[in-house]
Amino acid sequence: MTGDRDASFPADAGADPARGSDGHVFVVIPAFNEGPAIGEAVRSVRARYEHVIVVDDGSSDDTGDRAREAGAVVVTHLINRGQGAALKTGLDFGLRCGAKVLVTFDADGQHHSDDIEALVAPVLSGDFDVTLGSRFLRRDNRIPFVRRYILKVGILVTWLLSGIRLTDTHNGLRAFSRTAAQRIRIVQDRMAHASEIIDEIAMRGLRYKEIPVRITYSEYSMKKGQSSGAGFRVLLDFILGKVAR
Amino acid sequence: MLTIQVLVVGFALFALALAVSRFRKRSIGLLEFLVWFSFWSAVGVVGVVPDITYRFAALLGVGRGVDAVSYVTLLMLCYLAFRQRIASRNLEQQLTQLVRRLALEDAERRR
Repeated sequence: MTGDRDASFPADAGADPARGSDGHVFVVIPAFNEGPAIGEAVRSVRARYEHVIVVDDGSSDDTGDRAREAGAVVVTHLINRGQGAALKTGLDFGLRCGAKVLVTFDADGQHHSDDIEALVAPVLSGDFDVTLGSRFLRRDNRIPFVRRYILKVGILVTWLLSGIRLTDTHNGLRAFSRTAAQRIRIVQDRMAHASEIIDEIAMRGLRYKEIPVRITYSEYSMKKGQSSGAGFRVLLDFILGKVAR
Repeated sequence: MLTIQVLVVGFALFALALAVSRFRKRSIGLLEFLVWFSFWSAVGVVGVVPDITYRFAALLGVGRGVDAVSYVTLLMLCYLAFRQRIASRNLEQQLTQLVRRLALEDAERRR
């Protein structure tokens, strides 16, 4: 459908000594119109991990091509379905490719690839099923005031609805074991998927741990990010999803 | 009969005819037809005998007939809006599943 053939994952996804990483770690990057940032995001991850899956969520720009050029395998949604939908597609594809650990990573440059190792280690060791990045566990993260306030409200709401108390409930940097990725059910297509993932962790009794991660807010990522009002939409979608389940 | 009564009864008859037509063309099932038939029949009856709403209001403990009808109508509209939202959400999910399936099949082909 997209014409060009992607770089493919080798059938025997073994360890890559050059990268010093386990070859069964797959990094999933959902992306929608991230042409300016996706190349750098993919390259930074591929410097450490061989297997990068970019889910092009119906972009109208050259996101898919740039991701492919940077060495990612691109899975393309014909139309935009939302970050939650793209993330689920990426997880499903990673499972089909034999991933043992699946990492989710944002395309807009907010995340740092050197944080992935700390997320992956507890999952690879088998001590935890899911690790969740937290920007609030690091004091050197500079978080805009309004964004900080909205995130704190999200933390409180998640605690009330899911019973899980976290320091950061809407961080896109996470790692799942294969079993966890198979078990969690992501039905929310848009941004409410983040709350849904927390809910699924609680409902399915998955072992989780928060890991301090760096977040860098740039003019680009702030423009692409959610507006303050969108937070209420996320909450409504999440509650409606729980009622309609 | 007041003008508004004529309009209400006229519209109710039109809606009834539409419900019958849709049922005969099998656009709607029996249950849905019976629901709409009952509803528009009730609207027609209220249009002919508006005082009947006062009895209905007394039953509910509400002062005026029109208030009782308004409250019930509001509740029904909220319920229908909720049902519509759920149906729309289900359609969205089905669309996502279709898009995902096509994306995964395409990616598998190119592996």
